[in-house]
Amino acid sequence: MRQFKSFFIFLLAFILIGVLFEVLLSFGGILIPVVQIDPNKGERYCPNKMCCSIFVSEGFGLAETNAQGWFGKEFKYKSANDISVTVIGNSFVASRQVFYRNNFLSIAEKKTNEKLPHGMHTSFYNFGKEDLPLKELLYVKEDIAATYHPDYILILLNPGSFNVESQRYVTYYDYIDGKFKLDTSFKLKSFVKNFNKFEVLTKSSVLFLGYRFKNHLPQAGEILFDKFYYRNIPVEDQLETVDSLDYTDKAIITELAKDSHVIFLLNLEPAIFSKVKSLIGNSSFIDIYTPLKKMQNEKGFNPYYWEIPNKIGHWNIPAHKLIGEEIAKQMIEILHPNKTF
Amino acid sequence: MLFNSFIFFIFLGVVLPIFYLLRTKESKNIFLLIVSYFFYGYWDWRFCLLLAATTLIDFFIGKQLSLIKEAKKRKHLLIISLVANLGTLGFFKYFNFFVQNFQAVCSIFGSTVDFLHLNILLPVGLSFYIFHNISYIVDVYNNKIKATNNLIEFGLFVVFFPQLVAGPIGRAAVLLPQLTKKLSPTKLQIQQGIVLIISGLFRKVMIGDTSGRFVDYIFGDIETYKSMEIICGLILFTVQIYADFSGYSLIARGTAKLFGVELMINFKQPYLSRNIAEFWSTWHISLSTWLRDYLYIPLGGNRKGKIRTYINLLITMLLGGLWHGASWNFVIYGGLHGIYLSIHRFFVKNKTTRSEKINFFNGTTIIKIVFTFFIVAFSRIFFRSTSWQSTQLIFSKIFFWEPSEYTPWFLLTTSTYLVFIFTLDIIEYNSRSDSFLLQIKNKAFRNGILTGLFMLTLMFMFQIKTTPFIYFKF
Repeated sequence: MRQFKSFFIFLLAFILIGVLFEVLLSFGGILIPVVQIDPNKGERYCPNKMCCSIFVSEGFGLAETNAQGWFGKEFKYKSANDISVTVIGNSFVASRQVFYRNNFLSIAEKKTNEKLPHGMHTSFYNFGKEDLPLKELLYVKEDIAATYHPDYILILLNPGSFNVESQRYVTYYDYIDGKFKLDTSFKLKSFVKNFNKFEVLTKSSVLFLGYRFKNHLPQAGEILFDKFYYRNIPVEDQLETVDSLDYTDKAIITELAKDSHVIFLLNLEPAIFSKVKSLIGNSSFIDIYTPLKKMQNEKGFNPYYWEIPNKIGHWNIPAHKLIGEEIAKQMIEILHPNKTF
Repeated sequence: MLFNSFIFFIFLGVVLPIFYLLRTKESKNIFLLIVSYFFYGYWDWRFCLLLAATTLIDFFIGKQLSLIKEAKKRKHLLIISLVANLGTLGFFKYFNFFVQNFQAVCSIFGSTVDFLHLNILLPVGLSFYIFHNISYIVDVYNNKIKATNNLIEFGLFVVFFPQLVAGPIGRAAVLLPQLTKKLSPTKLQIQQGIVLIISGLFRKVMIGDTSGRFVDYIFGDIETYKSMEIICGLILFTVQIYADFSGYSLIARGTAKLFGVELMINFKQPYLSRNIAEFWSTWHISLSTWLRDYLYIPLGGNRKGKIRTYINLLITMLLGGLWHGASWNFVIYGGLHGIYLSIHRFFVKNKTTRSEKINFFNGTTIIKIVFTFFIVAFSRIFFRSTSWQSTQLIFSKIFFWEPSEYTPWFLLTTSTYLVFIFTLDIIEYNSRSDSFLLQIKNKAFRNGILTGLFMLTLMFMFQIKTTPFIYFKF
């Protein structure tokens, strides 16, 4: 009985510390789980949630999700003078590394509106999500973004968009026998069923801490001996590169290019750029690779370098500024050809 | 090797069992001396040479001081030691600073002096062990302590790894007598040591490093952030520096206890202070008492009239500021605290000290605590900003108000940290200990708290880059 009492007190104290950690991790903005599994769409950001990304990304990012689980303002069915631009892409579009006001969409929207004539207004809507391979991107475009009938759909293609076999729990289009087929098989996976059963627990910061700890375990040796974060890998080796496209990716790009509302946002090296260019034909595109490269060559400033964690990752703040301005410049030409930027 | 790295725990895991197996006083001291040098050399083995050189110089000067009775010769020996110690500190820490300022002064008068600029690597913890050595020599000179004849004991006094790189700045009168006896920790000391290490680790990793990450981003790119975000960043830095340094001191004291050595308490809940004088009697106590004993009192302290007292206070705090680093920002930081202390001394006749109990239910007391916290936080602008330009930018950002859409989020986050750090301090103040866990009588409850704190902190440590302690660079 006495042993049981001691164990109970021990457990009580342990839980008390767990609760304190929960408060510190979540109210202190340290680790907050922001992903949930939607029964139909699969992994999505939790709706109406302030997301602070400081220990899960290279930068210090703050952004709020809307009711649909996307960052930034929610898509409203357009008014007469409002030009809607949806931007779809992977983590580079989601931009969890910077404050929402500093990401390229906000900058592009601000700069575009400054130059448009009185009465005209553009709104940029973020449909970015981590790990969004083309298969899932097509689903987001066709089944989510297109339902709002936006005026323009900007689609970001970068090396991370291609040849990705998604291991995550998402709905996506597969290309089989010359036809696109919606795959929702994630619903049958036991992880998804358990996730939804214990949904309340999945919002816990302490459990999220444990989940991330488990994911780091394979690197335990390096972490224990302080070698984990100090590897000196050349910048080029850390950046994703791709030199070919697979069968499905080619089909998806061709499919996307059929939509006259689509403008491709290309951040691709010359070799893969020419391959994509041949697939998109006469569709509009904005090349952001060249200005970024120019910035790197002329100013010696790496758009992917983050000083505080000392690592290469997503676009940093100056890169976002440059891309936002570049998009605004191009959008002005499309929307109001007589106006120079 | 950082106290908050896994490699340190591996190091402790190897060193402690061997230490406990050793039987004689000499073997324990020699072993501790070797592992302390290994600990220090883990950063850069060249640092060990400088450490050994200053140790040898002060050991032999100390020995000579104990042998020579003639006042003039003793004074010469003291001067030699001070020149050697302060010269080393000056060269490694302040050489480029003085050269740059000399160049700037020359350029005002129209002459260009293309003076030497050296790429000097500042040895970790230099300011701390130089102050160790100075206190030893001055105390021997003033006949407050006897010089030791045992090089191993003196070497260990200087290099004892738990306190080597960031204090507490040990006094020979306290530490040397412990090293002359066989080091054998009691069961209670080991228990206390473990509790202090876990408490310190929690403070450092979960409060210091996490708040520090926000601070690093904000102060690393002031231009990007709005007024309220910068103010919150400043308050978070005030939390960070305390959690970081007090966490370090707790780990240092806890580790020393595991070897049977008692180090001095370095912090006594400083943010609960009701005035600036009380703050300095509870913040970085080993440095503030060092400055009092070896600078303020020799300058005359408060014995030479009011004006001289204010001047002495200013000089002490200016030099105390400069001790932190070769930058005008630190000089201003020190000077500002000198002014705070002088104003406090001028206006306040009834000086509240920590010995008077804090009544947390008294409105005036709360106002005093909050006021003291904010004037300390204000001074941290100079402590944290990286250059004079960034200091100016901070002021302009604060005074030319830019509203932030994230104000509620920043206020909530900052409040969370404040609640944690103040609650910890209030509990510890009431438990009359620097770790309230030591006062918990129920073993199961204490072990549950300790296990939870240790496990969750380790899990967090596992996912982040090890962050050096702020005071390591001083």
